[in-house]
Amino acid sequence: MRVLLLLSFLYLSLFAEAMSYIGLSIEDSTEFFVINGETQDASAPQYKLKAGYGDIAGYSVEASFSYMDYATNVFSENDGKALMLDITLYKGWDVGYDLYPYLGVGIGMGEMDVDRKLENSLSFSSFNFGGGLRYVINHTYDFDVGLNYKLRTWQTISLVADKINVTSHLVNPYVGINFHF
Amino acid sequence: MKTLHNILLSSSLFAVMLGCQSSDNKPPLVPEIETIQIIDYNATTSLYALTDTSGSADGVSSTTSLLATIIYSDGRSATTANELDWESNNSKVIAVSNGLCTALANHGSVDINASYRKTLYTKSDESKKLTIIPLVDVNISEKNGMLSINYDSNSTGRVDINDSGPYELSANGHFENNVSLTDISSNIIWTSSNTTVATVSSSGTLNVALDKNATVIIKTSIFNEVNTTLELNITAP
Repeated sequence: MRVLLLLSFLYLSLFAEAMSYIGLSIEDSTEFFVINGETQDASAPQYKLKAGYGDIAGYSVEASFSYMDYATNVFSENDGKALMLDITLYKGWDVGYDLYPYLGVGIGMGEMDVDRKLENSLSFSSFNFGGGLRYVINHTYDFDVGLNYKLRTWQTISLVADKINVTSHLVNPYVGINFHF
Repeated sequence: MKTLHNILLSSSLFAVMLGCQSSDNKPPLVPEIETIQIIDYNATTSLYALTDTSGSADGVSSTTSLLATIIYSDGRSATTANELDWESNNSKVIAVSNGLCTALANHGSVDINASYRKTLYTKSDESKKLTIIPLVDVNISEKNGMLSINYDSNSTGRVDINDSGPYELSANGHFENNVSLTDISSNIIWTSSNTTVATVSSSGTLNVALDKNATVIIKTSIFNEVNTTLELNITAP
């Protein structure tokens, strides 16, 4: 019972001004791959649909679903579409002038189509953190701009007599808009 | 103020979209598997129709070990045997496991192939072809000169025995490729028609019970094909 009360108190304190929101953002996703001492970068727009709950001046939790088309040749001659799901925890502050800077940290997972002999798709997991600034346009909308870093660990790729482990680093500047209700 | 907001939002989104989508003509950073090729460092084309030949003379073997080279798109290659699924198109003649090919018949030839996850295969024209060299004749003698074996025109040996032994039988094999091996007694199968009277170990050691007069037939065979017959005429003391 005590634990339940404590959790309830924590919940109320974290989300005292909590509201739900949905939003859209577009990111310029630049990803740096390092494999066997060689590097290659891939840059493509990433589109994100997100839904969250929380206080813009406090804590909020957000789930986002992203899409991007790599159209690169890191894993195969024809790397394809990728779908990603991320969960991020944000902490925001009210600094006046309708501006709300924030920091966020989260985890995610996803899958990308590839055209390899042994794999048609590759899965990955990720850890991300970043920060940004929200500008409250009115009671319903806010404008969102930020920068996110993501460390992505890819599925081990089999080469029969060898294996390759791939990690990549993403830096994503983004802009978006959120609708609160 | 509202108009300013809209302009700011639109221009930001447009700027991001313009700066996207790079392309690169370099080959994929992660190499792709090009082919699987079977390699045989011993250049073996045939296996002798014998059982376990470990310790036999060079070039006389009923087994051979194959490897496979995986060739990658970046020019590198790697060698393996255990990672692959090996297949013989007639596993009753020559079986293969983890690249180790073993003769299981006195005649025949097979094609050996390797594959990975039922997705990557060796090319059909790059199969490893192996042929059995049949054992066509076996001549039995006694290593220590304790027995005098006589052969008739049908190559059936006969010998008189009045001592319990043991006798060290030696089997000299003659193969279809005109190779003769002086002692293959441990590489063939010995059988006795009456094991209560005469027994032969897997290495050819003959022991005889002299309880009564008896005739016992000793046969050598390889993979169920009889090579030769030795008739023991046992005389009790």
